[in-house]
Amino acid sequence: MTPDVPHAVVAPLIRNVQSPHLIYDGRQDLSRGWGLMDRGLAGLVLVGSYDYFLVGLSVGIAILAAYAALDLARRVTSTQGLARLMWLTGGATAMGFGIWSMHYVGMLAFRLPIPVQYDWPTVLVSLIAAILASAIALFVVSRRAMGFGGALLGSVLMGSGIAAMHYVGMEAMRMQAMCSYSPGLLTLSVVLAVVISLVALLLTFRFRRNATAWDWMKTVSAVAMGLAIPIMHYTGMAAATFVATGVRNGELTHAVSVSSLSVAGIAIVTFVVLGAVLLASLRFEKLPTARQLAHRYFVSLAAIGLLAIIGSLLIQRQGQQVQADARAIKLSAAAIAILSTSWPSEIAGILEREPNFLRYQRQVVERDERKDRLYLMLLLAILGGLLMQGLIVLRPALMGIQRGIRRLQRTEQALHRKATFVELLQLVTSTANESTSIEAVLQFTLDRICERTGWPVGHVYLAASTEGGDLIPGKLWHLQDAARFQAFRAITASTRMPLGAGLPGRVARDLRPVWISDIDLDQNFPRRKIARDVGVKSAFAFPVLAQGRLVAVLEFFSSTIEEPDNELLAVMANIGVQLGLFIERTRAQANLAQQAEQLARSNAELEQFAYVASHDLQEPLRMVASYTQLLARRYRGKLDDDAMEFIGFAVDGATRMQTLILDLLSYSRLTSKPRSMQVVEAGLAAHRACENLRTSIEESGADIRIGSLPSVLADSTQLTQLFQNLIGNALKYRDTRRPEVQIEATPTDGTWIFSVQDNGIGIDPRYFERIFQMFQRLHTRAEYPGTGIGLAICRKIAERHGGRIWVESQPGRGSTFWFTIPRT
Amino acid sequence: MFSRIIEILLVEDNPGDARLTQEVFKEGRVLNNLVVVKDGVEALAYLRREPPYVTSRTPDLILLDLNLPRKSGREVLMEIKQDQRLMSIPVVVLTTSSDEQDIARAYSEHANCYLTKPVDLEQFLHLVRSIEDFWLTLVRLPANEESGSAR
Repeated sequence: MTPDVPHAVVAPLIRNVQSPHLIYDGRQDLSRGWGLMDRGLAGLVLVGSYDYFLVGLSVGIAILAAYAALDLARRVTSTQGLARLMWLTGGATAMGFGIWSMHYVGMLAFRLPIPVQYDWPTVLVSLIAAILASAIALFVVSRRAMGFGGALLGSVLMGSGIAAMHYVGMEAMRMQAMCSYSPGLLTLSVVLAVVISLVALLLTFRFRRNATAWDWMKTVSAVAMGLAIPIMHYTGMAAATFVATGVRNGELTHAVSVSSLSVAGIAIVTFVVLGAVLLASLRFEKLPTARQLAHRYFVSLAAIGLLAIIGSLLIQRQGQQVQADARAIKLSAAAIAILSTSWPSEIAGILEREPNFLRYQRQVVERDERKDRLYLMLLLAILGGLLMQGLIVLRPALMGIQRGIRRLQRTEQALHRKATFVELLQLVTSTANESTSIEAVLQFTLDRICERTGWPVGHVYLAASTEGGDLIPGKLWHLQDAARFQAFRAITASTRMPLGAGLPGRVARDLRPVWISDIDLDQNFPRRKIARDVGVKSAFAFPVLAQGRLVAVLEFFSSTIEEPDNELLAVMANIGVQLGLFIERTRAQANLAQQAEQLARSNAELEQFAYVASHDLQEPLRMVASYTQLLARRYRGKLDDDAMEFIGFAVDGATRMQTLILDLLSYSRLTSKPRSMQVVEAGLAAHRACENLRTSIEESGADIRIGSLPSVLADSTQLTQLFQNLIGNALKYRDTRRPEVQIEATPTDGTWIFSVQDNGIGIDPRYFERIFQMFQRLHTRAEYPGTGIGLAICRKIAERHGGRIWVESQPGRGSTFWFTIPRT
Repeated sequence: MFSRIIEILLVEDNPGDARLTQEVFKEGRVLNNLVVVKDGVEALAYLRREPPYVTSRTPDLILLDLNLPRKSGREVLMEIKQDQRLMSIPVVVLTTSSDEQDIARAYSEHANCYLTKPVDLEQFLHLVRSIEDFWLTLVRLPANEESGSAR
């Protein structure tokens, strides 16, 4: 029987005794969260369950074995010489087989949530132990007299044999678990084995001369004994604890799994063997036909049982256990059905022909004491050997196993602690990464640490904004029992901690975690009295540092005395570091947001300034220009030439200043206004620019050729202005020839390169960079008027479109302005 | 088409500007009576004949500056265009601002046209002539009942 139960079914059977964090309630997914996937169920105590059908079967076998024992005792008693030896050996074998079978069926009735196999050589050794125990029992009861001392000795030997059988049999188990025994229950099971053996011997001795095959007294005592043996067995099973290891616990070469078919086979063979004992007589050919018939049935049944066992083992070797099992069970069932349907009529026939079928005729004979002793010595030697094996091999093995389990439990606990801490750290870190609220993250950290450590109280002290100032009690708490810790909370809320004072003060001074095992013994703990009253015993605290400065101290309290845990403190220090980083980040983000806000405000102010410039600066200018002009107009002829020239300068100055203001305005608009990007036909923008420049184009008679230009993602107004400024420059800086302007675009990787080429005066290469700067002019105003802002605007526009602008030129040979715009 | 004196309301807070406009209109071809008010509140009071303007005449054209004390030109424009009795009077926004936003907003408030005051006097003269030619000569406006009956 190998219950290959999936984890989902196993889950509810598993509990854990080492760590309160690992209680398995069947809701969590075992493969996640605890990181146990790699180790399977390792470290978990496996709780077995019983198959009550098999338990019943084992009890039935026990009763039958007891009955056979009582019967055998009488037969052994009534024979002597070789016959007695044979009866003793054969009877012991049958009885031992019965006890062993009971034991194994009981073992199989016990289901663990992991597959279990059995090492068959060990199983055979346990069978031998059972047979020896039986042999001793039979020997003791078949003696002429049985004193209490003899009975006691016999029961001790028999009980030891049964116990040896039981525990050797347990050793045959092969599974991914370690088996350890509770010393108390183990002793109890051995004592029970001895006591039961004593009772069995006394009963058997008393009934040994009863010649009746079926007898009420015999039946009752058989049932009592039969019930008693399983009690010993199940006590022994209860003594065992199975801890999953994830590793097989022994040699697997001879391990077999026991299928339900095998169980059936074992049961049948047992019943047959024990039944045969009851029916058997000395010589088969001398038996009456009715007995021969009965024997035939038993032999057939035994054959079927044996075939079932062998078959199941063979099938198992071929790895087709399940289907084949079903088929074999069907065949066996059919065979048993045929046998059992014909049985009642035949047994009736037997009883009719032989009314004495169920009676034995026996005679009391004298014994050869010497041979008896020899036989007993032999039995004792073998049993002694077995017990020695138990002592020499089994005990150290058991001790080793227990040591191993303890070590495993410790490792497991340590691993689990580590996993919990690492998980805690990850939780805090990941929460901090997702959150923007320092308070929320601190509260989360308090809650999680209390949850994972099982400490009921957590609180935050905040550092004052001034360096070296007091620590101020924060509003954040984790309280498992708010009512109980109310007083502690109140005293904390009103206690500021100077540097070095109390738990938080010490943490603030040393800037590292502090642990107090017993607050009551701590001289530097201002809240000690209240802590004692509410039962706060131990404490630890750790600092949160941002940019090397203390921000907060997180303190935790337990209601039991806890010894310093350096591993825990190390993790807490780490959490403090993570929180510090988070706080630094959050503050930096807040700073950034503040700066962005300031920038936005200054941008808005700039825009306001630009607006004011466009309005309020122009109005006085207009006054100056317009009224001087009006003066000139109204007083023409009354003023002399000088006056007219002065008026001319005044008007020119005012006009230039206005141009300057307008240019500055359009430059500032480029930076302050959001871009409205859309797909623009560059050709259209160039044409619009020419349209705006129509007067100058007509005036200069320029020839402007616009090649095939692409569509680009751009701000249409700005692109037009870019073309307009470049074409305008080409017209302005012309020499004596008729201006020619060529506009082209060529694609490259990811960008379009636009060119505006002219045949003007050209630029000295050393000014290539300078011309794009604000107010940088190469010519006097008398030669070429201008503000020196046009190309600065061009560069700004190109850059705002993700491109750049540059120039290639030689004086006297014209210029080519290049600019790029990313391709869409 | 205007044989009579044309009534023009100039809303302008800057006396220099107001005077300049008056001077330029003096040199214009159309006989006009240019009344100047100094802010938006006065402008609306004038239009609605509220004290101290109970005897004012409904103007044939309003020249409106945008930046005004007390009540801005935009508000005045909005109120005129929401007033059943005033909405048909053409409003010419005459301002120093060449800001695109100002222009867009003025038109969205149903300004009849938007003009930027030039710095150069010649250009200003040209502009005033254009106003006269277009608004006071070419354009046919609904009959001004009150001023019409006064003739």
